[in-house]
Amino acid sequence: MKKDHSIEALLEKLQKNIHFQNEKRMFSKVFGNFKWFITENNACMPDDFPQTFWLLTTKNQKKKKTSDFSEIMDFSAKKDKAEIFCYENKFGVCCPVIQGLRIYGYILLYDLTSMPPENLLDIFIALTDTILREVQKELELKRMYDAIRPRAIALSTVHTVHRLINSTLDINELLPRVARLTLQILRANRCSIKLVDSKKKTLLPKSTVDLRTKTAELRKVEIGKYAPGKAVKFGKIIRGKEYIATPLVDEEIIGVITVYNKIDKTPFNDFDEEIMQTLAEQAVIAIKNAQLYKQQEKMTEGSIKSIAAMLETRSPGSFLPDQAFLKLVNLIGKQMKMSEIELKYLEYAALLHDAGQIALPDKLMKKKGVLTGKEYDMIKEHPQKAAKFLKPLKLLKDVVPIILYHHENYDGTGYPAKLKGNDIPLGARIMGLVGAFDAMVSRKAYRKRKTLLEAINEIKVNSGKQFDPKVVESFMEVMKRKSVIIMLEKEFNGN
Amino acid sequence: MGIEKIIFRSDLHKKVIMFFHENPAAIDTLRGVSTWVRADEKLVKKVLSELAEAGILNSIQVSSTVGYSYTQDMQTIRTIDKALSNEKKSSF
Repeated sequence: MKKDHSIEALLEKLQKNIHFQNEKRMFSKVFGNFKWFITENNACMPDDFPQTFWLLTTKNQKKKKTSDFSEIMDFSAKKDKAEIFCYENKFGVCCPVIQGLRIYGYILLYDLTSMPPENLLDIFIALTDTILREVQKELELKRMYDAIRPRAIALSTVHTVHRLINSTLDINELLPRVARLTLQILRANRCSIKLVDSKKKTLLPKSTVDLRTKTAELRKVEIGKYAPGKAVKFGKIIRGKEYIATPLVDEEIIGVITVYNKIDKTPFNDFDEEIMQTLAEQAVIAIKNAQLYKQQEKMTEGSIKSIAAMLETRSPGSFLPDQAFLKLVNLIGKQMKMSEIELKYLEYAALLHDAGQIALPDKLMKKKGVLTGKEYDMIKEHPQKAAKFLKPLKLLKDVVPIILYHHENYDGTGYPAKLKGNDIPLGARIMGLVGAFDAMVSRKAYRKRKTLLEAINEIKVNSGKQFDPKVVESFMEVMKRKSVIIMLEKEFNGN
Repeated sequence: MGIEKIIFRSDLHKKVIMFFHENPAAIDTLRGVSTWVRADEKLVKKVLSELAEAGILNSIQVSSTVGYSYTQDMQTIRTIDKALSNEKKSSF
């Protein structure tokens, strides 16, 4: 028969209960140094427990001699009251621990020097009942705690995973993170994430993490084949002893996460399936968000390029920056440890930085000669004009300040706001330097162009004045690269 | 530092390790772990950093938070298991 550990725990707690210890002290005053214990049945009695005893009547008369203590236990349980027994001039009490219809066990007092009076036994039984209820409550609370705690920990894990995977919108960062977290939760060695291709025939490997090797093989799988392919085909989890493939289901199935080989070599089970279901639901939301963000990013980039191309048709060569300009801006940004998103904004700003010149009269745009003061003042308005055109495009809100301030000087002598030092956005400080360098080395009708070396020296000379010394430092580092010099030579000297 | 040494460096070290040893699939933040081990976040933060440095925990840092999880190295897990069992036996 299956042992009920809750009863065992209850009796153990009852035995250790402080009230019982007090009770024993009280009884000792009357009955001498008696012994007591609590048991579930007569199978495990103490060694010194008497072998033969008499069951007594309430009037202290010997009723029945027996060597089987279970008879006394049964008798007390049936009557739901304490039974007194005697042996070798000593007395004992068998008190059932009963609640409702359930018999939990028996409290046995023995080696009493005199027969316990009935009223004392009544008090004892009442006390037992009260303590029993208390202990039951405590055990119930513990059972609840034991049952709830692992679920609460699992819930907290789900919440943490949600935060961890939703903190990125870059799918190239997201998928390996999902794979690693899945391995962590399932305690497995290998996880592979595959996404359905545009033709919906093949699963393309996007991320595989294998804790046992540094390089993991990426394999395409046909939909319908192997566990990942079957999970996608049938839209349900496919589980084997050493793998579990879970489809990523949105409005349609977008891919599959497959986990292989638990680290403790046990087979995957129902609980793992439940966890994978939850993880897949979270992963699919994060993947969809990242995909949507990527699409939006492409749309933004496309719109910016379209605006730039439209501007270019008005006066070719006036609005679109050359490739060298874009490249230099990007390299200095990277050298200054700008984030991916900051570099993106820098690129957009570089593409549109002279968009404000569209408001200049054609005559001025096409003028081949030195500008008058009034004309120069008009030219100086182009950053504000660009900012005004682009401000309504909310997706360019981080780009506009770079464009607006790209003609500010580090020492506060620039325009339009005469900002100084770090008040000028970093992107604008970079653009300002590259713009000036580009102007020095480009062919202009009204000015003699400088050689690369002359232009580099000019930048150095103006460090801390027109240019931010830190940006100059990064520019000089970039200029040390042979590939950059070759690119610039090609762009500006045509060789 | 040896794994056994770091487990018993303080009661809190032991508590945090025991939490992850008993719940190896858990991934939680500083706040979460502090709740489970019922200890002050400042103290738990230091312990989590030390355990991550010792390779007992993995830390996954993202812009908004850090998630901590148990090592997946079976050798380390076995060493911790042995140390915790020995400690339990000796406390009886």
